Amino acid sequence: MSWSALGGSLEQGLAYGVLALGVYLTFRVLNFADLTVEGSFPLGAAVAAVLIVGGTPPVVATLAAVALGMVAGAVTGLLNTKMRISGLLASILTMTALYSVNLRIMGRPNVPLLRQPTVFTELSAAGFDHPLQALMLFAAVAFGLKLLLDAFLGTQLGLALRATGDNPQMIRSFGVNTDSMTILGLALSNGLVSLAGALMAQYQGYADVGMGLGMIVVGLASVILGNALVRPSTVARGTLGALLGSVLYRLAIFFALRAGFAPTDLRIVTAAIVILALSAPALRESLGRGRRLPAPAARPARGSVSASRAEER
Amino acid sequence: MLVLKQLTKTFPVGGGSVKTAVSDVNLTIPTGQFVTVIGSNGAGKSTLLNLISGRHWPDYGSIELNGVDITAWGEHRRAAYIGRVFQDPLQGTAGSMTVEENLSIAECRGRRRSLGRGVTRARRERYKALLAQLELGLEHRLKTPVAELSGGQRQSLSLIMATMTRPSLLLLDEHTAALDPKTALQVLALTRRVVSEYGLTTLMVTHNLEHALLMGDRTIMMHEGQIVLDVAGAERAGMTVSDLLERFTRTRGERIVDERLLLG
Ligand SMILES: Nc1ncnc2c1ncn2[C@@H]1O[C@H](COP(=O)(O)OP(=O)(O)OP(=O)(O)O)[C@@H](O)[C@H]1O
Ligand SMILES: [Mg+2]
Repeated sequence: MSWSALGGSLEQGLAYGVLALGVYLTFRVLNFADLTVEGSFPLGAAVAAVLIVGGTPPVVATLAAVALGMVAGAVTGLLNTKMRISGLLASILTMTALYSVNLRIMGRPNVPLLRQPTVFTELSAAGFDHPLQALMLFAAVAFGLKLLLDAFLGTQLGLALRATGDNPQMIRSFGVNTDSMTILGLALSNGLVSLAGALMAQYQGYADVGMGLGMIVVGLASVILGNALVRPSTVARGTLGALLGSVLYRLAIFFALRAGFAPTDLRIVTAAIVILALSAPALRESLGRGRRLPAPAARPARGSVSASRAEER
Repeated sequence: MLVLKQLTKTFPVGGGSVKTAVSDVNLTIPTGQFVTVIGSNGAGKSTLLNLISGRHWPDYGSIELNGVDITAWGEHRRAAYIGRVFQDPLQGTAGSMTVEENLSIAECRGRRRSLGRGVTRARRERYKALLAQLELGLEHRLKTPVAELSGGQRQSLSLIMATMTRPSLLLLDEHTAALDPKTALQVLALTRRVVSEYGLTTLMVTHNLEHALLMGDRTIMMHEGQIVLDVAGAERAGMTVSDLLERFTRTRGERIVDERLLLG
């Protein structure tokens, strides 16, 4: 593990940041625990890889991956809203089905993209050949999509989507079909996740049916880590947190490997990171409380508290 | 005008039996009329409002609003014409969203929600003017998340949101019950003002008999799913709370045991 891998971590952090934006949309905005991600991420990779191998221009193949990811999200949405299957179960079912779908699309468990055109070779061909090419492309895509998502969530439609996650009863009383909003949100989210899959396939040079494994935890870890870092008081801060969280997560993994953890230990490292980020507010509070006030048992009567506080100053 | 015909709703209560919550209700409310609804716990008041708003489907009967039969319409479709304020101040607004975002959502009632900005400068100015009338200082807090407002402020905002597009019908289900007495009176005064200013056809459920007589121009009392008392005009104008209680006892030929109703 060398320092040059640090750049790779940054690149991956930004690429997976697109996935984190998708997870932010379902998990935070729509308040929907969506595991479709585990299937739509490799779906995006599979679609992009197979189309590219078949001669489709990489950009078109990537857009096709986005479209199919949206379909996958919409399926989960339909199962949840029309068939009344709980969100978690509906998304597990879609994810499970997608495993077979992805194998069908690829025809085998792994499709290599060696010596195939990708969005990167296209950029080079267009004259943009630079050592930081991937980093800049991923940064542009991730932050561009962040701004687009922020803008969308500020539109009339976007406000209705946010209200659906916040208070479905209320938004229905203003004439919004919450079923449609749920389906829309899941479609957009999985479109983003699928895009991340398509980009990762081209970045690492292959699509693999197993590459979705653990993706939901990666997304959640990013969002939760980001929220601990940037208080998500507005949508813009929430999406920024998701992106920064994703980069931070990759850096944490990088340093964990450098510190001597084996790649097989990464799952427990991830779990530890999420637990730490989740408990950060509680930890901060209990530390803060300890500093401000004496322990409850030793707390004197009201009047004397303010007196002793005054003495401290 | 709202016309309810033979409206009936039962709920299964286990063991194969059912509870009739609303039973053969016939009611006509002319446009612009403000009706207060009273009745003991479980009388069917909320169920009646939920049938009208589409949260529940009736087992039998029809609902007509301004000449259109809306019985088969879904809840969100009816919501284009029906404004609602619930008992719980948390229910009428989206807490994580700001005051202006909530108002924008309300302003789009019944319209196609576009990809246009939710809160524009022109809209913000309008919201400021609208909120200034409340005299709660909310016009300076347009960017505050609604969760940071007090219950009374939140309920006032809910009322403004429910009425700002002048819906054909306004349904209020004990919308002041969760507030302290002083705040409740403020919200009632606001209710009276917007209802008369916009000429809204209104149904207001309350457990407070005094409020029931004070507000609006007609009072109906429900009992066991039916309307057992319906007073308006001169008869109602001369009524006191004890008259109302007495009339109820006479109609039913039984004593009221609901303490909330007695103490209201
Ligand atoms: N979703 C439901 N499922 C089963 N029973 C219900 C349901 N909603 C209402 N009921 C029953 O229908 C009857 C009427 O209830 P409703 O809520 O309409 O009364 P209410 O007049 O609003 O009472 P309150 O003054 O307590 O609010 C009650 O017996 C209640 O238990
Ligand atoms: Mg009720």
